[in-house]
Amino acid sequence: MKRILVACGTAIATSTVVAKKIEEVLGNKGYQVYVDQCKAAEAPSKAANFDLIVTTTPVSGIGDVPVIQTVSFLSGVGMDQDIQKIMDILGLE
Amino acid sequence: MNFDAFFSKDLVFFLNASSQEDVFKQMFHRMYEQGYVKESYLNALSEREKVYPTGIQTEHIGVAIPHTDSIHVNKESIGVAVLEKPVSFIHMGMEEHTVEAEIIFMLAIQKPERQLGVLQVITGLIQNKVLLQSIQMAENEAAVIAIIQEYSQKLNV
Repeated sequence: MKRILVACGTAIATSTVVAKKIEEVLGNKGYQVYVDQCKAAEAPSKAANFDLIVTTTPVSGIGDVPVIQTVSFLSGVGMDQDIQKIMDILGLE
Repeated sequence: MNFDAFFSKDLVFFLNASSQEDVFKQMFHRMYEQGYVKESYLNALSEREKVYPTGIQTEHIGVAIPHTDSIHVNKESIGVAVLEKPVSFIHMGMEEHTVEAEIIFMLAIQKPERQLGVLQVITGLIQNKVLLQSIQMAENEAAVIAIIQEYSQKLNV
């Protein structure tokens, strides 16, 4: 199963919602993914175990793992494009 | 989700605020007086906002969802403020962009993993132009709560 790490500033509100949304949208398309969430500061130490990082705030020091920085899952603006990006990166077609 | 545990007309604000700081102060004062947040909440909120800004540009208006660590929260609640005139927030994740925020959802959250429902309600509202407009045009505090409650029931989270 593909693994997505969702990061935000303090893991209080935004990453919770974003993680759920991604799971839901991909689930509706028939893809099961493992989604975990963390604070942006924790991303570097967790990144290696994931196929993709989706973050609402800039992250650094995460090596070769692809990163999508976006707030589309909160604002609704550009969400479809971001889902497509996620699917492309994870090779879900 | 237990709607009444989070939303109350006592925590709806129609604000004439001059700045982000002013919004924070006015909302904090009532939330503090009513025991929802600790004295430390205001400062913690401002500091967090500087590092991790919460302005969000939606399709048609700017909003903001300021929040801070749960240690500053006594009782979970959501403050909703409709601003008479927009106030600038830095956009989440984009330091170089500002958002003219017109509606503020101030989150006093303790256990995020258990609050998915209320967070989904807020995200859903943010993405819904019609609902945000009706909140802006609401006649009073109770009307704002009624709009959010109806949506929350529809969402059934």
